Amino acid sequence: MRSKPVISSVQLFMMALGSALVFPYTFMPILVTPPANQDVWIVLLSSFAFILVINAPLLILMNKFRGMDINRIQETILGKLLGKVASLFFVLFFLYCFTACMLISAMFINIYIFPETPIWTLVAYMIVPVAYAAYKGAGPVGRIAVFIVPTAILMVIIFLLAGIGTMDISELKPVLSDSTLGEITQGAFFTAARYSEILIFFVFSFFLHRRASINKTYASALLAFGLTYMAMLIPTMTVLGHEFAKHTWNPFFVFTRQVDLLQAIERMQALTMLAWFPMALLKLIMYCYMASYTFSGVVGVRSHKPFVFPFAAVAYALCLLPIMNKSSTVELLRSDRIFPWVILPVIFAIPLLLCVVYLLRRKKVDLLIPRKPEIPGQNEAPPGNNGA
Amino acid sequence: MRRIVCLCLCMLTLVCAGCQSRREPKKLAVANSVLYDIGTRGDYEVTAEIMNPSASQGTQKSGASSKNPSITITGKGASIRDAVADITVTLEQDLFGGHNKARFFSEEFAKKGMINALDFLARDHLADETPYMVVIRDPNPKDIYFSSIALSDMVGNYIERMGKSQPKHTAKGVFVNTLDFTKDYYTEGKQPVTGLIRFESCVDKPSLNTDGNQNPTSTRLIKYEGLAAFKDDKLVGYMDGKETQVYHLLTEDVDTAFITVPMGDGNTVLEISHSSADKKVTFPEGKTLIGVTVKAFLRVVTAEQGIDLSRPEAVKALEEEFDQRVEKQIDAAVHKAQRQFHSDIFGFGAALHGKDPQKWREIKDQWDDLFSSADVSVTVQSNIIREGEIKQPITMEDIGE
Repeated sequence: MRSKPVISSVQLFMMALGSALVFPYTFMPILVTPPANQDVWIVLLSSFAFILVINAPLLILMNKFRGMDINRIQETILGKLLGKVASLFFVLFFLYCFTACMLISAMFINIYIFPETPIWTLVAYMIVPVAYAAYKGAGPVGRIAVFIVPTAILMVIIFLLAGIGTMDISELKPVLSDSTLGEITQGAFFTAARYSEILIFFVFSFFLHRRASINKTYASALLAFGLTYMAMLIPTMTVLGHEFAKHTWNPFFVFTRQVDLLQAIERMQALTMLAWFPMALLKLIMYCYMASYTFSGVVGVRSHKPFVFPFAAVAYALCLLPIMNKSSTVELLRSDRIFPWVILPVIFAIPLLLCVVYLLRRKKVDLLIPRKPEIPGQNEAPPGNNGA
Repeated sequence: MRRIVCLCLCMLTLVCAGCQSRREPKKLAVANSVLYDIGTRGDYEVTAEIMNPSASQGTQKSGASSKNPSITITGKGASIRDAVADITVTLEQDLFGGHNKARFFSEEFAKKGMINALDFLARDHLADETPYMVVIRDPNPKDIYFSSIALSDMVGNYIERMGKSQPKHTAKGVFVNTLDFTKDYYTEGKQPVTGLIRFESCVDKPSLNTDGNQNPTSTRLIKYEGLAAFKDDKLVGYMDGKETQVYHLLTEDVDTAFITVPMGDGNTVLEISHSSADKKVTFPEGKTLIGVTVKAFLRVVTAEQGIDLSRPEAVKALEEEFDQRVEKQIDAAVHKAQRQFHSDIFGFGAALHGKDPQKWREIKDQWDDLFSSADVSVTVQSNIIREGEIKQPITMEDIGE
């Protein structure tokens, strides 16, 4: 029997943080979320209350069913057939995120860096390392994250410090005067609804070292996400102004274009790219892996590997559809009209349903939960696939 | 085997190296500055000042190049993009705008409106927000490329260097980059401004750097002084150097400004080392009242003719004289913006927005009219904090212990 990989809490922390930071790095959706004015930093603060509420069902499930993987949890609660149907929703969602994120990343590179490079080339350059790393399994993904994410955070800190001289705090004024409570609440809800990284915990916590706490890792990742997001949002708003920032495709990148280090080192935005691109790849790797892994559980195959390259090929083909290779399509996909409503059913509605069913079938389901959590790294392989 | 593959991949990156894309820098026509103008038929004219690398090669070999450090090429078209494309009818290399330092606009272009230029520049992936924006107040704006540019070799570099040095010595000019202009355009209650250039006859020895010594008759001098005021995106007027000092005072971005105050038998020059401006808009009895309180901290630069600044009463008198003088200047500058421009370039509306957002929401649509007809009350409170390295005037002889 093969042993399944073990990831540490630091690795899971970095994976969740890296994945969560890709969208703020790429297009900072909070700027166009209601009230879409100088108060969006308050929206960010408020969103954490919603994030905790929305993520609570999955957190409860993960803790209750510690040692069981995503497929097994659902099949235990809903039964074999319904459990597989529920897992299929997760697979579809992972594929959607995989494709949308790849398209958004390729579009960003095409708009800002390589406008003459055809999109098929950009996507091909991304898909090959992504598929390879996803094929290698959960352990390598965790180890990659530990290299990539600290670099990105370091870049955020460097630009925050280097940009202090160009910041104009008056851009954040007047505070709470042009926004209503309803707008702030709506914005906070949409922002929270975009935080889908709880699913990374849902899938990868199965591989988490048994001594590591899911709750502590989740809380620290969420806190680090909030701090880093704020360290990106405030400089972007105070340097670009919220109106101009809203108009740009990549506000944080445009902010970094304004920064020079002590008037000596100019055009430092290349450093942003250096940090952003690997992090975007990391997000893609995780979604490709999660889609393959969950699907392998649905069809009862012990390894996720047979599905990595087909899924990558499907995503590649979808990105090349003429209707997808349009700025307006990407704008729609990432907007508040679509994105939160795709995420919410998966991170909140289905988990809530699972919790309700669990409460109704508690006595029966509890019998199916192993008394001691299966210990990752030990020789006994779980009934699902081992994720290696 | 893995190591060999990794090594090959690393070596592959060497052949992929380039400036910003697969095109080599030597194959690019790097624009140093760009002039936007309106042609005689109403179409757009774009003139690019393009770096000439072969001129710098000549300098290395012989110590002095006979070639121009830059060339200018003009394109015309129905849109700005058409005009830029028209440049390539003459140019054999790819025009590259990533290192542009300054964007010049003719009076006619600026009066027609900047929004088309801003939209074009914001969409283009190579054009960024860092170049300065400057209006040229002259019927022949292209003359900027045939004027003396002191010690610089290209006009774009000249403006960029001046943007770093001039604010340390005077506040008579404004250096506004494209981002600043765009932000002001979007800001409620604050209208944008740009830098201003006009030409003068050169009475000093010119460098002839623009002409590569081929046209020693170049006698135009660039004067970077004053500001161009806009309403939304359209040019509405100009302010001179003194009025521009007021603009800096009221927008709180004074690096250094010198004010000459007549005292005694001569002039005393005071340097504003830092200042703050408190702008208030109130509506007593249906009228609009703009209140400005400026606090300035001063250093004495020179005190001609016998003012003993070791005496508190002399310092007090000097401060009062300064206050009165600057109050008049502020009053005149604000009056000009009200009556001539009808444009709130000082940001009084933005101050009201910050302090009384509810009132601002009520009146923001009528703000231009309210600003233009508002009464203005100015108070200046100066404080001389340094008198230099001497206590009494150098002419004063009998100084006791």
